[in-house]
Amino acid sequence: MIKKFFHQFASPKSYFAIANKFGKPVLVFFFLLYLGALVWGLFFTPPDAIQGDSYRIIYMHVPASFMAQILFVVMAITSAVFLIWKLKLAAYVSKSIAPIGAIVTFFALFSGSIWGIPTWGTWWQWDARITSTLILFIMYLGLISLHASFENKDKADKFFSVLVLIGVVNIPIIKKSVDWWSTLHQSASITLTSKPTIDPVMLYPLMFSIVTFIGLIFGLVVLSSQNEILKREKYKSWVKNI
Amino acid sequence: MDRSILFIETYKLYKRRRAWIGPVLVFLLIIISFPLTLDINSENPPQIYLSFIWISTLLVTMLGTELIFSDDFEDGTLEQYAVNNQLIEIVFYKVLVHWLLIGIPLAFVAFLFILSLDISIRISSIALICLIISNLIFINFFSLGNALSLKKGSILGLLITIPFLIPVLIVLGKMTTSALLGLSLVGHLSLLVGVMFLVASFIPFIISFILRTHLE
Amino acid sequence: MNQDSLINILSMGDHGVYVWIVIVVLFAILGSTIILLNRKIRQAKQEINEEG
Repeated sequence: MIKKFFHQFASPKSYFAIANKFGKPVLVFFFLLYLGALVWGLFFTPPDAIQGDSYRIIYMHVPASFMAQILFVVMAITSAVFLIWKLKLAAYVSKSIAPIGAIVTFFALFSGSIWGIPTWGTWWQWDARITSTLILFIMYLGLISLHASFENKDKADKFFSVLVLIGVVNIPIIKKSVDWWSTLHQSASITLTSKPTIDPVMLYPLMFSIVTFIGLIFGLVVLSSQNEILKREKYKSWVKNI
Repeated sequence: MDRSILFIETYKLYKRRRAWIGPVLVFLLIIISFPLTLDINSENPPQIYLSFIWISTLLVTMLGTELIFSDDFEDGTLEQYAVNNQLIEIVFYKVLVHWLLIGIPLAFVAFLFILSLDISIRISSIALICLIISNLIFINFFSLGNALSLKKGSILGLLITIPFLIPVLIVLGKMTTSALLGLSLVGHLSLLVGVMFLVASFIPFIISFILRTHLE
Repeated sequence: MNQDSLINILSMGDHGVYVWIVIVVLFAILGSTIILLNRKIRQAKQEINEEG
């Protein structure tokens, strides 16, 4: 029954029709909302008592680091759906998440290191979270280059999905072990984790920016998956009627 | 279980001498070049040497497993095994043979190097055991990487498998510090052995799935 | 609100420059991704229409 449902409603054709209709308005909607969250956070909240104004990077950094991990989990779910039910659409979505994930992870690293300059006095610290985010970034790049290296895209989808599933099992292990490793360094005197509990004045815009950023990034994923579907289903007959 | 496959695999790797003597020689050369670039007479902490050994064995096991499947894939041997439903066994034996002929010799070369550095016998023998265990984990994962990137070169395989091996490297680093501090290593060692059994029993299944997809 | 206080708000004190760098990079990345994807989709549609 589930299989039938998937094949009827989750074919690339009907997905593309829905995405073509609603994708862009939703993307623009969340873009504007996120812009609003940023304006709220950047200009209408008081500066932090310790970090001054540089803490405002939080409204971009935290949503990005959050999404960097969520996107991998989403990719794992779609990969599992692809491997279990052989659903083409899931493979397309899974593949189109990878570049977006790499971009978001890169931005999380970048904004983190810019934030580090005024607060830690250094742009890089071998701290557990930064290191595991860097590893995540490399994993995204590895996945992209694995998919790109195969001419036979059906095979590439399978390998990609297998590797994503191995990766999603490994990410918690990597994170835990990196946490364990970083206790080697006694010099981590300033960490992000020892941040004081956040004031509601800053918390609400932060929550709002996280939620809208999630919407924004999923809008991007939909756009990217449309591109992927067009690229892969070029020779199917339904594409002619768009 | 067909034991003759094991002998055939051993013989095949043994005949390709470059494939198993080569990595050991490369490892030896890397080891020789290490003291030349670091000034061995100054009082460097042993940790540096040990961490260097972990990372260079990681890379050399990658070199050693580079061609683990490609020859058999090209001449159709793998397809034969796939038809006979023996793919999992062949993967398992191949990994085992590579461990016996490349992984363990590497560990002994590293052991001799560590002994030559005035590091106590206790720590060097611990390092030997760790290397023997971790090399099996490395070879399993690199075989996975090489199965994925079959005929695409080893760079891709390295890129996608090293992130998975980072926890093993962290355990090895932790063990080094505790060994140098003289702490008990039972916990670390049992963790490593547990990971080894887990990896050695699960990864061959994934590899055989990947190979079957390649053969489709 | 006069002009001076607006500039004060926009410059965000001593560290405002870091915040602005991150904002500019974020919107450069987002904008270029959206534009690139849109262009690719349009090209693909055009190609399909020409063939069909």
